[in-house]
Formats: sequence, structure tokens, C-alpha cells
Amino acid sequence: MSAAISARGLTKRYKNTVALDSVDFEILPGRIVGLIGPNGAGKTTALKAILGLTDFDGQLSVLGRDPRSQRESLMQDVCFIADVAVLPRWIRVREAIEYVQGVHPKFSRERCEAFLARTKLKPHMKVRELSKGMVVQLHLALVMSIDARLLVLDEPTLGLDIIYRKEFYQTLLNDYFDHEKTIVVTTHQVEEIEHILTDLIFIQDGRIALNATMDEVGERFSEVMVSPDKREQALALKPLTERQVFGKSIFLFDRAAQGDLAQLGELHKPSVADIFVATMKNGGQA
Amino acid sequence: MNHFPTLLKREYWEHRGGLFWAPVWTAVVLMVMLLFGIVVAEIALRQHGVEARSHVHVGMELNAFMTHFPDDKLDELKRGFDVGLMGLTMPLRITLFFVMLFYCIGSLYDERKDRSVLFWKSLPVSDAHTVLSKVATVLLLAPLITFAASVVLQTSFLLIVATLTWFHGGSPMRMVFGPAEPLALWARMLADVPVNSLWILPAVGWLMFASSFARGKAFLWAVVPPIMLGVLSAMSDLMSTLSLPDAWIWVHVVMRAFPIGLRFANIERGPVNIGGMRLGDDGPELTWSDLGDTLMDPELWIGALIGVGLIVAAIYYRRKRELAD
Repeated sequence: MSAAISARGLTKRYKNTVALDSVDFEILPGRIVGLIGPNGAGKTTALKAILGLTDFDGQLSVLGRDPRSQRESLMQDVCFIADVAVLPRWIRVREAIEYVQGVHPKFSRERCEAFLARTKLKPHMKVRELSKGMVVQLHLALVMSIDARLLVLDEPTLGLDIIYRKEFYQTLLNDYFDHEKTIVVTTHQVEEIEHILTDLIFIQDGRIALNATMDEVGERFSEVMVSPDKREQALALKPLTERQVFGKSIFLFDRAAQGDLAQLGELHKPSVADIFVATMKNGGQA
Repeated sequence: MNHFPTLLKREYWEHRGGLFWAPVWTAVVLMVMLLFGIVVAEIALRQHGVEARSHVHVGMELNAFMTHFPDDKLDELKRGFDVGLMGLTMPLRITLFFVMLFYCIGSLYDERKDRSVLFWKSLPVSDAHTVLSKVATVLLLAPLITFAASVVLQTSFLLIVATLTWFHGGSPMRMVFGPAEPLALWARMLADVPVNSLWILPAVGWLMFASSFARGKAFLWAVVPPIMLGVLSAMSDLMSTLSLPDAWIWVHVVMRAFPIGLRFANIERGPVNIGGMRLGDDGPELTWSDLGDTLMDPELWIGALIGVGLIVAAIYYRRKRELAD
């Protein structure tokens, strides 16, 4: 199957900084990819490039199109939710629906109304009168009623309280995602989405620090809790990081032999957040 | 292009206040002032009798409809209605100017400032269609709504004056519906919409280009450069070097950066035009020959071409520019 997104030598320079430094990656259809990185690492720049919202150097193909010159046709198959506050404040719920229906050939009004029926949103309400959570519900209802092939989410749950955040991803997974669709998501709250991801891309200082499927991540990284007497032995196996808990050391290993590690102590699967922190500390040398 | 009506609706929803309510309220205020004028005229009549001069003018004195009107002066009434009905639309034209000005300056800047451009650009609508829908809104939708408001206002005016005449024992047919020729006037006003839009195309192009180009402070970008141009040319004696009158740059360049509709083109030949209306000796007029003159004026077409170029540039920057500061 051909890649949904394929980037080669993707580079974006601003006046004084390099936001993306010759990045290569491929995202296959039917995957849910987490694009994770610290602030200013280049996540949003990468998404903007994918969506045709910024110029760049290098090669980038999204669903077989060049987003720089073919944004209009690309947007027939791509949906996009930037962080919550991008719906125009003056628009009414019914106007937003009518507009998207008027310009998007793959929008289903019935689907949208069915989603909205589950919320407290009413057709006459204006976005400026809605809470952040309700704005996101509206945006999500609009986007999920479009039969797109690629969904791009940039910090979609920023500023939402926990109830809406959980519901957001649950709705997405249950009512939207299937094997034809691809989702790319960036977030700070990586623990929220790690159970739905199929792939992980870490990005740091404009470069890819890690690009792996979740299965590979599970195989590669292990965490071991080691008592002080075996600490030297553990350090000899070159762990990525060490942290102290209750007088014991927790080591994070990348590609260490499971047999060796089992002798040191109790083995755990590390969380994506821990792997992320370890990778960033090591300057992207995971 | 089959989504173009939706794009126009979008513009209307966002700018309902300027496009619809501004002309409606202007017309309502004018009606209230007219009714107030009638009350004043009635009081003057009661106090001073037939010879009272109420000084309430609407192209003609209101007294005319309250007293016996001599047959030999009916021709004056015809002229009075033409000027009066036209004059009534002046405040609507001024409102339209401000609506157009602020609409254009915000048209491609506000969406970047409030980040909603990220929503609009997430939908399959090209930058060209987006910009053209805004051009159509300001050059067709806005003036047509103002035209409709003018028609309602002028009709109400005629009905009120007819009632006033009847109330004072005069004949509405003889005094109002005979001499007034609103249909012919509306035909000329409607014909003026595209002519005036061509005339202000450079202004719309310039303001939308500034709106699209500015990274911040769109209002200053739109307003300061044309005025600076005028001031600098005055300071540098550029006009006399080119052996042109000093006012040339203001009339032919600076003023045309704003949608005033002030047609100075034949300033050397005759009186000034405002949005098609010529300021005649006794009030504003709008004649077919004025419209024809404007269409024959090379300056209209040169300006329109420049306007088209600026709109193309606005489309380019709609694609290129990211969020505003």
C-alpha cells in the first residue's frame, strides 16, 4: 500500500531558526500516529506543511498530492482540527453546518445532526456563547461527518477538562476510525492517547528522534526496578536513564537483552511519556 | 464554482451588521427625521398661516404639499422630486462607504488575527474563490442591499408626501404620483451599481491587498501609504515637475485608494460626481449621460485594471501569509 504521507528532506527555515531539518518519514494508511515533541520542536510546522498552510523545501506528498499547490483538492480528503479556538466566533451552529455542507462534497448533514443530538448544542447558538468543550464538540461533529482519508489533529484537547478530553478520543475511535483512514495527532498529554496509537514519532530540534510502531516500541524499551546492590551491574548495560524511587533505581533500557534485564529485577513496560523524556534527555539518540 | 453562493452567504452571515442593518438603520433614522420635519412644518403652518416658510427641505419645501400649488409651477415639482429622491440616498451612500472601507480592511486580516483562517483553510475552498467571494460581496451584494434600502426609503417618502397632500386637501395624483418618476430613477440607480463598482475597483483591490499582506496593523497599512504618497508628492513638488496640477495625485491616486465613488474624472469639464450622482446647481442628479461619460472615461478602465492586479496579489498573499501578529 502506498504511503498516506511521505516526506523526504522536508525542511523549513524561519529567519533565525530551522524548524524542520531535512526530515524523512512515511505514514501508512490505516495508522494512528502520535507526533510527539517538546515546544518548538517542529511538530506544528510539520503539520502546517502537511496541510498546505506553509511553504517548505524538500519533498512532501500527502495522499499523492503536493500540499503547496493542491491544497484545495487535498482538503477534500483531509480534515484538520487545530487547537480549540479556530471556529469563527460569530458563526452559528446551523450556519457552520450549512457552510461545510455547501463547500464539502463528502459532508453528511445527517451524520452531523446525529452527533449534535447527543450534545447540548442547538442550531441557533453562536460559537462565542459556547464553552470551550462545546466548541470542540461542534468542530468534532463537523469533522467526523466528513468522509476523509486523513485526519490531522494539532493539540485537539488543549484547554479542555478531563471529561471532554476522554470523550473526544473515545468518540474518534469508536465512531470515526477505520482501516481506510489515517490519523496524525500531536499532543502534550501523551498518556491520554498512548493506548490508541499504532505508531510513534518523536521530534526534537527539527529532527526525528524516534520513528517506530507501538509494537516495536514495546519490544525495544524495557524498564527495570533494581535494588542498590545490583546498580553497578545495571549501569554496565548502558541504560538510557535512571531515576530513584523508594531507594531503588528504575532504569530504562533500549534494545537490551530481556534475559539480562530479568536478572536485575522486576521488568515493566515503560510508558510513552517515560520513553519520551528519556529520548529527549539523550539528545534524540534513541 | 458551485459553492460560490455558499461563500457569499458566509460573508453575509459574518457581516450582517454592516451589509444589512447599517443601511436599514440609516433609512429608519432618515424616516424619523422626515416625520419630524413634517411635524415642524405643520406647527409652522398653524402658527403663521399659508405664508409660513418652514425651512424644511427635501428637494423642495414641505409647505408645497400643504398649500394650494399653482399649476404653472408643477414642472418645478418634477425637478424637485428628482433631486429630493436622489438626495435621500446620500446618507445611505455615506454609510455604504464606511461599510465597504471597514469590510475590505478586515476582509483578509481578521481571519488571520482570530485564527479562524485555520478553519476556513481546512475546507476545500481555494484562496482565489475565497477572495473573489469577498470582492463580489463588497462590489455587488453591499451596493444592491443599499439600493433595495433606497427603494424602500424613497417609496415611503412618496407615500408620506402623498398622504400629507391628501390630508391638506390636495390631489396626490397631481402633486406626487404625476410629477415624481421613481421607476426611471431606480433604473438609473441600478445601472450605476456596476459602473460605480468598476470605478471603485482599485480601492477595493488596494484595501484587500493591504488586508491580505499586513502581518499586523492592517488599518495603518491600508490608510497610511496612499496618504503618505500624497503628502510626499506635495513636499517634493513632484506634480509641478511633471507639469500636472498639485491636486492631481490626490484626485487620481490617493482618493481612488478608498471606495468613495467620487468621480473626479471630468473635474476639468464639469461638476464633481459622487457615486454616480452629479452635484448639479440645485442638488444631486444621476443621469444616463453621466453614467455613459464614466464608462467612456479611460481612467475608469485603467483603475479597474490596477484593481484586478491588486486582487491577484491579495489572492497570492492569502495563500502565502500565516497567522497575523
